[in-house]
Amino acid sequence: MNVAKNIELSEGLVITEMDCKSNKEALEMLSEKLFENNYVKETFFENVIKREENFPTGIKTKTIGIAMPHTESEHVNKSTISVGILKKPVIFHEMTNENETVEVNIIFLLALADAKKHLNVLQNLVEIIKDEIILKSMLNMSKKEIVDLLNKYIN
Amino acid sequence: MKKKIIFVCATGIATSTVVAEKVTEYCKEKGINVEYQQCNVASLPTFDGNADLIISTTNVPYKLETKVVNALPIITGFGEEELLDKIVDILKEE
Repeated sequence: MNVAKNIELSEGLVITEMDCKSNKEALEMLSEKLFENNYVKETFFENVIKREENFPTGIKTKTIGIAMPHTESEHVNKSTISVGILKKPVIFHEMTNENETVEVNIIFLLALADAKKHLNVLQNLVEIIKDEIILKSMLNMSKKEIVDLLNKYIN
Repeated sequence: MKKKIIFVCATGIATSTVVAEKVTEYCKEKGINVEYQQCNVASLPTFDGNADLIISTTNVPYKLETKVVNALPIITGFGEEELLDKIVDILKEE
């Protein structure tokens, strides 16, 4: 296993059954987890929000909306992914069309210190996003199951 | 055939990286050698006119000389095949 290509994933960074009124609230909760565990700097959260406002990351798949917010590597200490599963979807805007809204149930908050190094991780995440069955099953998984799933596909 | 492509996304690191890999591999299979650069959308105007194609996974709020293609299908899988073929066609024309 080539350690450089893989990233650390942990249950402590997964929040299931999130109940939030806005995408900002959800992102705040997930960013907190990352900051508490030293994966990101203090500036991470505000930059994720700023970026999301200017360059949204919502993606509509056939059934479930997802979002993959992230920001520049300078705000990241160590690469990882924080996952949020929402009972009731929150609104994000669509990646290539900021006027379109997406109802998001799964948030993959990416903390990437070096995207080129983690190309594998990104490619595999995209494969998960394309798979309706996996996305749907994630809605009911426990934190451990989600981490196991991501580890299986991404690492 | 050798072509130059600029891959752009908002931060210039995440989605543009995935798309760049997919597209260059596909083009290679079709006999097109791709030389590419990645950038974020803010710096895109400085690269305009310097490439055969711009492939983007974000809104490009500028009027540019170079043709721009929306690459979101490569991330969602919807219409990915058609998009890749379209890219090859455009490159062969340029």
